[in-house]
Amino acid sequence: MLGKLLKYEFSATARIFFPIYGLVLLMAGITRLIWKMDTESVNIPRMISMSVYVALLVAMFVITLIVTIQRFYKNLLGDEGYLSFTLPVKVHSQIDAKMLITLLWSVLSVVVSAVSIFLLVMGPPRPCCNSAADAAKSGNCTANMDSPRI
Amino acid sequence: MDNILECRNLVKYYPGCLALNSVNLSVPKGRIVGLLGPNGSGKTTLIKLANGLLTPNSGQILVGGRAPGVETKKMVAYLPERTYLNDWMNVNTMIDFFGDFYADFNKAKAYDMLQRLHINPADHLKTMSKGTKEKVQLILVMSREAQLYILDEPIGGVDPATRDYILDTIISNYSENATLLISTHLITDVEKILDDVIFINMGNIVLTATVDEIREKEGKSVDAFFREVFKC
Amino acid sequence: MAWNLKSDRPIYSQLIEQIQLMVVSGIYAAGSKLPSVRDMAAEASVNPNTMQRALSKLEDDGLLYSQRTSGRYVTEDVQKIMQTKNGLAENLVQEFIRKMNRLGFDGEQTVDLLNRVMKEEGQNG
Repeated sequence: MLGKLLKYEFSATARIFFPIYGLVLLMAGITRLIWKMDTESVNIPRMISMSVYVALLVAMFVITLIVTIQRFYKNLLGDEGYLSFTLPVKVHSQIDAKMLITLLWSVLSVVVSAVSIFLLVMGPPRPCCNSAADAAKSGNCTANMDSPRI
Repeated sequence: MDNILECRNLVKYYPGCLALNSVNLSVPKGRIVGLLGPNGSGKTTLIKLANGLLTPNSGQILVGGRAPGVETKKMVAYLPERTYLNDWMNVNTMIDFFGDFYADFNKAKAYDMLQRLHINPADHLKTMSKGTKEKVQLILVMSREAQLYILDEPIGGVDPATRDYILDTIISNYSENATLLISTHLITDVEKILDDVIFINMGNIVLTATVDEIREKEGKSVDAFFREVFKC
Repeated sequence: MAWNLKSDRPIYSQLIEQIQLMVVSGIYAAGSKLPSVRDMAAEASVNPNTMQRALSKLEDDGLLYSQRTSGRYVTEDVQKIMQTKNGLAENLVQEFIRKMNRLGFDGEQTVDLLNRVMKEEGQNG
């Protein structure tokens, strides 16, 4: 029964988290591109994109918290509780399922943050270069530590 | 074990209010029973206790001979007054949900009823009107082949034609030998399908009788008799 | 046919009357098979238990009979059906006489009025 609860709890919340993760990663990619650009007067777009990215990162964690609270409130304390608590499952299973899913999203949020920072700093992974000459030529080889210019 | 629901000296109080005052009750299997009483009489409290949503302060409530718990929830199909469906789902998902948690859920029956009401199973619950959601909820509950159906105000707030449809759905779909416990204010519509009635007031059972007994002895409908008994 | 059930009399006795009426008027023909209890209950919008009681009583009376596996049938005994018809008619007449008495008509006055009205009906026919 716990498995079934987990399945539905996951479905209920995935629709919120996957888009956010996508946005965070996308923003990281966009920020990196903007910072890599060499043209003049690119400072304002850089500030904007970096701010948006950071805001999204923060939002991701805040939303994880909000969604957790909201799930408990809506699905257990609100009208949906009439269904949740008349299902033939032990009451603590309901709580266990929600806590486990919260844990899942928390861990994933951290993972997505790490990946997004990696994207920001390193850029999208490219096949590794074979020689130093190649590395110098293709300024974006993963072997090259390229950090955004401040 | 002939009684599907039993209360023995059941007491439930809230701070400052005695909801059920040492209630004794037996509801046999295979009957359609009306739980009738004014607002605040203890009907909803009794229903919540039977569903394991509340625990008694003293006394016992037994469903199928057991105290409310995981096992009794398997036998009981509950239709509350409110909509309790998960907003984010569509009807198909809701059906899968019921099928996953209730072994006695009949998916074919549910789809059939939905089709007859022209409700598209792919529709999202969030986009439905209140009336349609209530119909979906009724269909889900009546598609269970439960031993005890507890229906709290199943025809409240709907037009007369829909009321008839709901009552017809209820009487043609409940499983053989199951008991239906219907709590309602709309006695006139419901009394023709009831076997027995329980009058409850201020936490006490005032009367239990069959509908035919009341009509024969009092020469009036249960609705008219109710008004007499509960005159303000 | 719509089931006309009043709310101040027991349902089960009303069902018995209605079914008798339907048999007598040929809606349920002699020897024909009746729908299932559930179907009849749904049609009348009543509790299947109550319909079952009514049907059992009619079986006891001999107007209906049931075959173990195939269901319920109306009796083929035409005499029995006539008997039922006459019984229903007599009930109507008795009630009519009672009501006329309450209005203050005695037996003779009632018969006179009856003849007069029937003649008028015949003329308008």
